[in-house]
Amino acid sequence: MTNRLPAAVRESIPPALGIAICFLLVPKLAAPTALESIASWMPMLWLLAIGQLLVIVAGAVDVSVGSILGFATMALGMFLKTHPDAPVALSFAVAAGVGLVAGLINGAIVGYLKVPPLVTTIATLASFRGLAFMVSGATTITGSVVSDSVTNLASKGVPIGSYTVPWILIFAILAALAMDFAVKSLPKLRSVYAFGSNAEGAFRRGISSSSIYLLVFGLSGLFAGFAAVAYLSRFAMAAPGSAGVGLELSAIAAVVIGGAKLSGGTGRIFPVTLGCLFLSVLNVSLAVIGVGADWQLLVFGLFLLAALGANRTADPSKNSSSATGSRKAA
Amino acid sequence: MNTVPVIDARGISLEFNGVAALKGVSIQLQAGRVHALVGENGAGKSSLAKVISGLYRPTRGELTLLGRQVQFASPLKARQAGVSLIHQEPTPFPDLSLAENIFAGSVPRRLGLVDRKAMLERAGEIFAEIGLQRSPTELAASLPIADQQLLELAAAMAQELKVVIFDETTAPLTPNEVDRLFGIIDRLKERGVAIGIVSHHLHEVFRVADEVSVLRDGALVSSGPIGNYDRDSLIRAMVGRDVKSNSHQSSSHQPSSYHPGQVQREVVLRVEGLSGKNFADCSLVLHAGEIVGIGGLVGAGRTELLRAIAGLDKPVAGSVELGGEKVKFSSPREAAQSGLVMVPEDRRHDALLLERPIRENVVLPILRRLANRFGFISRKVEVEMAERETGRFSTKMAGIDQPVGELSGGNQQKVVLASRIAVGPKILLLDEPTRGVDVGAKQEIHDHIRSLAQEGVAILMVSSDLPELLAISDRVLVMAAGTIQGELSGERATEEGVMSLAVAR
Repeated sequence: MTNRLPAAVRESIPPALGIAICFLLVPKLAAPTALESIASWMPMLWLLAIGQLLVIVAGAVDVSVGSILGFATMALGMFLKTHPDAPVALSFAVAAGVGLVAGLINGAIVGYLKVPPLVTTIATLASFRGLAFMVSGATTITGSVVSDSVTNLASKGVPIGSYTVPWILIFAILAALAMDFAVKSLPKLRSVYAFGSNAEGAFRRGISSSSIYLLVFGLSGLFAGFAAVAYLSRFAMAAPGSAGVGLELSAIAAVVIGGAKLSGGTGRIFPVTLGCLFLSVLNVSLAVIGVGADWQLLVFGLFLLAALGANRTADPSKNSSSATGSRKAA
Repeated sequence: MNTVPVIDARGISLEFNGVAALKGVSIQLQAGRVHALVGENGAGKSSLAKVISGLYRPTRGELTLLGRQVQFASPLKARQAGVSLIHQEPTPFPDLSLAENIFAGSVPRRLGLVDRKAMLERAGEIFAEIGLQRSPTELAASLPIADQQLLELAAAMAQELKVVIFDETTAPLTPNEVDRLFGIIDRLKERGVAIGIVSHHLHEVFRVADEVSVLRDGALVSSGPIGNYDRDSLIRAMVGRDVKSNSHQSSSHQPSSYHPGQVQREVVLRVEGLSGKNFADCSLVLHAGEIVGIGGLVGAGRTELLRAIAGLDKPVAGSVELGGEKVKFSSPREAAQSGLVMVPEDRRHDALLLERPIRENVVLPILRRLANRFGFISRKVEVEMAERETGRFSTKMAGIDQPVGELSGGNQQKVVLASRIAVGPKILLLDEPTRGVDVGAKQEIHDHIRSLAQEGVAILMVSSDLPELLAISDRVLVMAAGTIQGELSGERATEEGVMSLAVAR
């Protein structure tokens, strides 16, 4: 009986199963190189997904995060060009600041101008990508520019046995723990869940939709800014036309695989984390077993479909057909 | 006893787009007393309840709470002041726990953080007080409607509760659940809460109310201690003095295409013991060319019965026979192929594509039939069809390419009827065919229903509009609490007769 299980456990089952299957089918994944590849890939997706989660809990969606990541990455690269000796904390602040402002712009458009979230972020997906070109003068950030303080985030870290846990992964773990605490304990974030579950009911309780949108899109932008640091630390280079392209879809997929309903109201950090881990593991598996680049996207897509399907069957509330066609009338 | 009323509403008027919903109503709610609001559908009971609880702002008049004048800017402000409304259809937060449902928007805090322990404790206390046997940690999604109502009450009680109004709360409840609710109301009375109830069920009113106010057409027509009234006098007050003249008038120019005994008409629809959600054991017979009305109060199960006959909902028991053959429709399309078509009540949601042109709306149900042998639809045929069908109703429009959403309610309804009649039904189920329709369009729609009947179409019509029901039906079935209470025709089909059956249980 899946519906007797606590929601957090129930939502964790599909991504956990997916991870288990990958490890069973691809034993080479346990090798240090594969694990390190996962560990360096995951933080970027994880940070994006944490931000996206709150937007989805509010019943909205933010498809502009890939472009925000691109914009923040290029802004950080240009900053490092002129300030090669900047401490790493300042790098975080620059990228996070750019991301936050971009996210607040999304939030203001949705919350105050009442433009639907999908429409807004499709438009800003283009606009922020444009800003990525403008801020960099359409040039590429090369490895010589990216300071060691940033690349060390991905290449150095805390050694555990023969593995190294990179600093950026530790940052992502701390960020996830902080957000997990915040969504459970901050009254304002509890209101996001209420709003996403029933917007009309939330209005009756005096919860303002404008401030909810400003909050969740602002946070989504902020986390995209953090993800930009992860991106630059891992690749040590960035081009305005490619940095973060398509990552918004992976982030949304990770959130949905982690059991959040696209209609809003539910979503937990831990299962979403497993969703991110599954996507990272899947990505690396395909490379490890040598699925050619021509097949990779197709296979990735099919696995994604299977995971989403499993998630749907695991949730009893999505299976009831009685919910339709029973609108009450005279 | 406190002489200052908890709620004192004076001269409350409420208008929507110039249409008066309330006309200078004054009412007082006293601490520890139950005040019932009764009246026909649309009399203004719910509007008054919503004004008092801050959902609507009155156009004129003033509201005082314990002697202080108040103007609630929002339902939240009203709730914080201790005034709550319990809706017939509660809107819980399905994804949140019961405790979080109670405290959404105003959670108990400690050091700025959610105080989960205090929240669960307080929720547990409130549940114990109102006898809701549920764990505060379970999700609201699976709660039955009776418990959802109690959850709303629990949320109201999380603030200091001074006034609570139950708006048709008992309508969807079983008798046991009603008993439980009345037990809770008694306890609230003892605590000195002022209580308002809006109810259609007069026996409930006599059971719990201390005072009663009768509304008709938005105006207060009678008010006083419950002891001053009996069932008949309440019904008379609800229906009004001029009833008799009205119904005589309508029955006198009743066209009556169907004369029992004169011609033996063919039975086209036979419903036997049909049961489903909100209705049980309903049997009826419909003859060709006959108009049968179904009267009753909102929530009596009339729409549900029509939906089940039309194949929109699955009945749990009983049978439907069409022309002597048992049928089980699994979709409206199957029903239409057998000649049975339903016109739903909520045209904006269920019957029209508001952004699309009138032409497309009219031909939508018959697109297949318009297609030529290659499967294409000729624009010319489509235009002809749309013009012919809308022409029958003299629909007021800029042209058949105007989006249907731009039309007035009456003209929208004509488009709905035109599109459904284009199917060529033998049986037409109408649910509130003239709701929100202006007088002129109403007359035209009535004429059209009559002429359809004369052409031999059998019509089953749900209507809450008593004069309409009596004027165009050959006979009237009255439903209450999900069952057919009786049939009225000829002399006995009066407004009082219908109301008397409709409030029975």
